[in-house]
Amino acid sequence: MDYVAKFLIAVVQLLIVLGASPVLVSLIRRLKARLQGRLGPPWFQPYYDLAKYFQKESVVSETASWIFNFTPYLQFVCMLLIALFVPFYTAMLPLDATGGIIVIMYFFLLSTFFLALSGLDTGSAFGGMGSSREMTIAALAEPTIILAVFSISLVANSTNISTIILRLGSDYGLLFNPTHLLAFAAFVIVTIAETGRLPVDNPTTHLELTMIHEAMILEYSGRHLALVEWSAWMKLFLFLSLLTNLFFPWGVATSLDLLSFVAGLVIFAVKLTLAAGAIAFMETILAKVRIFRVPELLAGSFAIALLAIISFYVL
Amino acid sequence: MFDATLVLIVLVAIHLAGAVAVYLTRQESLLTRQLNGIFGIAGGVMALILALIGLQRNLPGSGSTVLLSLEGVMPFAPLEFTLDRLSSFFLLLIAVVGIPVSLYSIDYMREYVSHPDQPGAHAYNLGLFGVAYQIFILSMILVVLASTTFTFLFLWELMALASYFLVVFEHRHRDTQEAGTLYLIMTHLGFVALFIGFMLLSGPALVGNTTLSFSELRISALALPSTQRDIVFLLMFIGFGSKAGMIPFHVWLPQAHPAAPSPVSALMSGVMIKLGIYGLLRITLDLLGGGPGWWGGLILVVGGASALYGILYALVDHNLKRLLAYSSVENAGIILLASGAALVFWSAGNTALATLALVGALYHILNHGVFKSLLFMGAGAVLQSTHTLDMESLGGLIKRMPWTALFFLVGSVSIAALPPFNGFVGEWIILQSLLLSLALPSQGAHIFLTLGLGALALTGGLVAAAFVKAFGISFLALPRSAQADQATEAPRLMRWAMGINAVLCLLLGLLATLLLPALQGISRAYLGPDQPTVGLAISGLEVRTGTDFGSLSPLLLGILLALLALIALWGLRLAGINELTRRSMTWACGRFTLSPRMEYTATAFANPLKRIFAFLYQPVRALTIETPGASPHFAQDISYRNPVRLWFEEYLYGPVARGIVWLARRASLVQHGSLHLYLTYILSILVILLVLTRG
Amino acid sequence: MLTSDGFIRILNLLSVGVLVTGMLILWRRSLLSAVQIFGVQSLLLALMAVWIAFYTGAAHLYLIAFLVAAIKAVAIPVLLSRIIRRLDVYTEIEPYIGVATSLLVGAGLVVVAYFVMQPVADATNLPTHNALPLAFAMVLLGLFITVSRKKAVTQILGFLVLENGIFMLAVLATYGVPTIVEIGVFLDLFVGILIMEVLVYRINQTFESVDTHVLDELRG
Repeated sequence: MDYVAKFLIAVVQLLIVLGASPVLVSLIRRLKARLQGRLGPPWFQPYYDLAKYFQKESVVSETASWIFNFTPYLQFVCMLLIALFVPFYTAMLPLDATGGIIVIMYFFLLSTFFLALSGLDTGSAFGGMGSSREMTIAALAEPTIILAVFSISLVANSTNISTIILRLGSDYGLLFNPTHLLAFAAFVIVTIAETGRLPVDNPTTHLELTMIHEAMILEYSGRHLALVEWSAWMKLFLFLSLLTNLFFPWGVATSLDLLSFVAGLVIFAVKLTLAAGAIAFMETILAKVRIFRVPELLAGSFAIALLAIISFYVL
Repeated sequence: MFDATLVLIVLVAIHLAGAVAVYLTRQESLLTRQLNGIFGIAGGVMALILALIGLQRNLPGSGSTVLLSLEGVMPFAPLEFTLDRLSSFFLLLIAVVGIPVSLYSIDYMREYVSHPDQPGAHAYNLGLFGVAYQIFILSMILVVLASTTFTFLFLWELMALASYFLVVFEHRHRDTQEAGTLYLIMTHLGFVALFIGFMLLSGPALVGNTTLSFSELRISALALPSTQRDIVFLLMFIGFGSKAGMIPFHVWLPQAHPAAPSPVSALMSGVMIKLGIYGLLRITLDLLGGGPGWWGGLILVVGGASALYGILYALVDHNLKRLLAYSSVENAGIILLASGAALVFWSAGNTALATLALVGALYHILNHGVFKSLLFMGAGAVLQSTHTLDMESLGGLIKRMPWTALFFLVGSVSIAALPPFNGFVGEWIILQSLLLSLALPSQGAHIFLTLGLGALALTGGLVAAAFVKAFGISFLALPRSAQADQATEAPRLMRWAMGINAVLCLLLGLLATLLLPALQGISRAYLGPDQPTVGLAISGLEVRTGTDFGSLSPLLLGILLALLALIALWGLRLAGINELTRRSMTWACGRFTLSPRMEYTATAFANPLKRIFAFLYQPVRALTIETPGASPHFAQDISYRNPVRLWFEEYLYGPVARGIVWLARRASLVQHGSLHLYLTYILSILVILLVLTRG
Repeated sequence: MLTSDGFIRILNLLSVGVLVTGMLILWRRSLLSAVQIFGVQSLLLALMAVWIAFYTGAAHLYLIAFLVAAIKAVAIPVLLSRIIRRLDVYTEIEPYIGVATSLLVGAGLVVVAYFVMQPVADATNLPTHNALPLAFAMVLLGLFITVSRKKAVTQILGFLVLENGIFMLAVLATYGVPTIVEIGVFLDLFVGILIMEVLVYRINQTFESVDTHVLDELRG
């Protein structure tokens, strides 16, 4: 791979995550609205929102420190960085050797860490509550993530994303073993918990006592709010891309030719649409669970991830 | 270039001269503190030179050179000091932590000088502090160089006593005395285990010898029967583990660390507890030369349990220093977990993975030394400025102590193993070594390693939560008390010391590839060359594990992060976003002012996890509301307590202590205090002896 | 007797599926859905028996598979659902140990089963030997459900899961015990459940609760 191709792929990765993540959110919202018998917001509503936030001045609490201003930018940059390591339509990622799936997970944790700090920074009780809950969920999701990653790396014998996709993609038999399927189930649950979807957190709520993510960002406005919202959408996009491409690496381009890129893009779009449909469906039929039932969900996903590993050793 | 022996002699001379010089100065002068700091730094520099000499030498195998052999200093046994790779690494740790802490202590210890307006209120003898401080550092340096049984045990005890005097420095507080006594008891229990362990290890070779050198021990250890080796291992594990702070011998840590002056806490937590790990590695890797798989398995399981127990109690403790002490229990657990994994791999014949795990353990030892001493120094700065460590009365310090806050934040991010700081690289290597365990053929080991992985991952998430609490509640939002409101920034030297460590955290994260080959060299010296495949390979800026298994290049990650930040800022400006900012009040639910009482507290922050892990904490909820008038709706005073159960203190140490007291009471029956009674005892013993020895 | 990769692969998927349903019973709080999951589990077991019968040509396994499907996947769930509805009990399980903890204990039991059964599994060279630890894990899970839940109905359920585990062991290890014994066991089980139903009904009438805790009061 020459440097021009590497550079172009990196730029395209960034453009995709920036441009397509609002569309994904819009897609979920519209599908959900249709399932609930509503029309839903316009397709480009997330873009209008971003444009509006960016044009407004930012109101920052007198109580807050530089952490509050710094966090949106850090989060934004973290998501961009992760986008360089997550396969969308091609597995030929230029910076793959810089870090594998563990790096991705720890950069997600870095952005969560700072978001929780900025929730505490304004001194509002809601922010603190959101931070406390977010860190609780993050702490409990962490072991499942690591064990699920372990299962994938057991099957694929690598923690580098490109290598995982190349190895799983070349032998579809690997996809139909219990370890892989159980790890997938566990990863679905942590994806829901980490991206704040139902039944763990309701992304549309502003009811004081039920918010988690929304409570943390309650004091944000203007460009800060735009960055925080955009980052949250990118996080959802990145998690869904990981979920679909790591566990079902069909169609991900493994060579450097235009045809496989186009095919990869189309298949990627189809996969994300299916994932969006699944989320919309689940959010329609499920209610948010009480915050103290969330640990049961996460303990369940941990148990499944552990079963995945045991079944690898047993079978 | 430098003669190692000469460096060692100069080093000893510096610390001894320092002890004398500090004692001779006027006890409360600035000079006392300055001399103590300068001699500490000079000694640290010498230790650094010695460490670099030791690491650079390409000695074959675990080869070592005897630096100094002193006959006649002690009446019955020679003192002998040897430099090899493992000791060089720990010298490096002592130097890297010792230098900034000595610098820090110059400004920090003025806390203990009496103020003109209130004479004698805080006055403590800084001269004596200096003596104990110099001897403490010296004994730590010498203990890693010691190469005979006697030298080692003598210095180990000296280190324990010096640190005891430092812990009880604020001897006027009753808490401090009690913490010191507990520490003294625990450290001596450990010492007894070590003493018996070394005697058993010496075996028949001890007869006719006053002391054995480590090279003689290596030979005699080979001849020992396997059960005796197992007993030796268990005794050493208990003895060194109690120093390292593993459960159930950790109880002294959360008491002693908050009681000691902050530079001492930083040294004890950053360095001294690691010497327990040093001892364990010295015994298992070097003197015993490896053992059966269950040795490593035991260390791994106890390490994993310590890590989880430590962080869960750090999470619910709201005293800043005690939180850090519990976090040290956790980190010691992680180090033990990785060391245990290394031994498991080694006993299975997979030296490649053993090297990987051991490099992870060593790197985490160094990293923890740096960021934990940074955090203790930060907590000390807070204590000096606000005179409290209770997080519920802190808050808002980031505006009043911006530098301290920044450095504490760096420490928190590093300890939470977040990139691009140093904690992440260590955690990544340890995770890789555990993830690679599928290469092992043994089936029992898989389960242990998987559970270790689960424990490590759970710990990782909880650490992030605990340090969001530690930093967020203490430094952000509004101050919760008048002291916190009037806090001022730490003095210059303290800021410098913390700054050095903060920069080190970043550098050790970004430039890990420069140091890792040295650690790999240390590991290979004891474990042998990589088999069957490569464990860890470092090429340029990149770290690779296994055959095509994982790779990481920390510097490139840092550069990418900076580059993307620049591009993002530039792009947003280019897009013409509104960059105006208006300051306004936080929405206070319709009230006119936001009061600190509306903020989330540390207790509230930790409460969800406290409820989830209630089976462990078994919290007792005590709510009392005092209502002065007739109406129950006008409360005058509400007090809410929610203490957690300390299992080991309550169910292990409590009964043992009560049993000992009971026995002592019984024994005191014979102590009547009457002279005649004692003379009667003597007479009756005499008669009995005479009768017995007659035939 | 032929071994092939495909046979083992499907068998392994089925055994893991059975184990997952066992964990799901621990996970769900609703009694009715726990009973339904038990039905699914029995159905998976029947499928497993059919698959082994198809592969090994052990014809009597078809009969057993049919019996399992009829009794355990249909009749018993229907009966249990009837008890639950008729008693009009609060249809949430009441665990002694929290759901999160019991899931972790469940996962731990699977680890224990693996640890204990691995030598046994290695000793045989049946193509089905790999799944033996999973079957044993089901036995342990069943016992755990019995001891960790308060309600009499959930204790019956735990007993049934345990029985499923034993059945799975028998099918995997010996391709089913002799048909006559198996049928006898099924009849016993069926009658046992009927008797238990009556007992539970009686307990409820006497104590106005099916919490077995109240039975403590019977001691002298």
